[in-house]
Amino acid sequence: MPRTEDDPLGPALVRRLRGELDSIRPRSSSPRYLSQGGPVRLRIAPAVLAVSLVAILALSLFAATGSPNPVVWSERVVTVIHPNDANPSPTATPEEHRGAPAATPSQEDNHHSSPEPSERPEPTEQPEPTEQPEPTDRPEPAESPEPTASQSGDGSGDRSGSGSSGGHDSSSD
Amino acid sequence: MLEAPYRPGSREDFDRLYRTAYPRVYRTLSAILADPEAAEDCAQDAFIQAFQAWNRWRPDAPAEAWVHRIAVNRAISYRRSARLRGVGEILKRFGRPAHPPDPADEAIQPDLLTALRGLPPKLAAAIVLRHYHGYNNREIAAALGVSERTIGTRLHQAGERLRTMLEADFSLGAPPAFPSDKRESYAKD
Repeated sequence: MPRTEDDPLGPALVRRLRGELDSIRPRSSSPRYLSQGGPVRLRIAPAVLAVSLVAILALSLFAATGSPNPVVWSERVVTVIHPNDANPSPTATPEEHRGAPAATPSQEDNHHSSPEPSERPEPTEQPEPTEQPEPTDRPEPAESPEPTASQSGDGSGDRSGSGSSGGHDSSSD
Repeated sequence: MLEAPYRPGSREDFDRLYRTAYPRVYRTLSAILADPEAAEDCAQDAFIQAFQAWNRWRPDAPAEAWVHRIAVNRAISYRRSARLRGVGEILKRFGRPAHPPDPADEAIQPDLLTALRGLPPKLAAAIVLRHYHGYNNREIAAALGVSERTIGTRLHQAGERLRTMLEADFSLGAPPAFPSDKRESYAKD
């Protein structure tokens, strides 16, 4: 069986191969690609489906958040409850500064003004910044209301900042 | 008479390609697959796939070689799945004797095709494309997506193995080509 490097089969086997393959007759079947939808439609269909899904998702997110900005769609809604500020009514503060005996009634007034007991200390501390510059010997008069009450029992407890303002009031009166 | 070149996307040209190439593609797959129905299914699937990509086909390679590439890949996939099915069949009838071959099939089936189907599909495809369809190594390399050197190696290996198988068949007798139970028996890829 002669054969070369370019033709490793040899002419006899090649003739035999051609004869045997020529004897094969394909069945007369109709081409199946005709039953397909067509190349263009098949190629576009996945893209149309993907675009539709993205549009539906975007519309639903827009309806849920009310914003067309996609950045907002990914944000989470967080409810923040701020504590209600204490009633810093400045009109109530002068009553506290009349003197030591009036300290407890003024706090009762604060109870009436603000229903929350936890917010009671704030109105008493608010007048402090205005009263601190005046006294020179007692830098923290409001931290100890009880001693001031005992001192006010002397009748001239005007050493504190609150007492000084009350002293002015009394002198003016 | 020289045929007009194919135009990508043209429905008429694809119909003409089908009429021209389908019998040749079917014969190529018949040299790879033992089951005629499987050869027909793979050939039809190849034309369906080619039809879907017909707009993207570039005329730098012959259209028939392009369809051959798709068809050979389909046949390789089919043989892989057939081998897995064969393992299942062996497990199912474990312990039972296999069906004897049909003498009528033995008489009809030529032994060269049987030996060709016993080759790995890439080697069988190279043999058919080279010696039956008349492609040169460069065209086969372009069709199958490999280098010309690879095609030369495949042709050499296929020739050696075919001769070895045919010489053994002459001394021992040809195996059945189409077993009565249509079970595929292939060599490993």
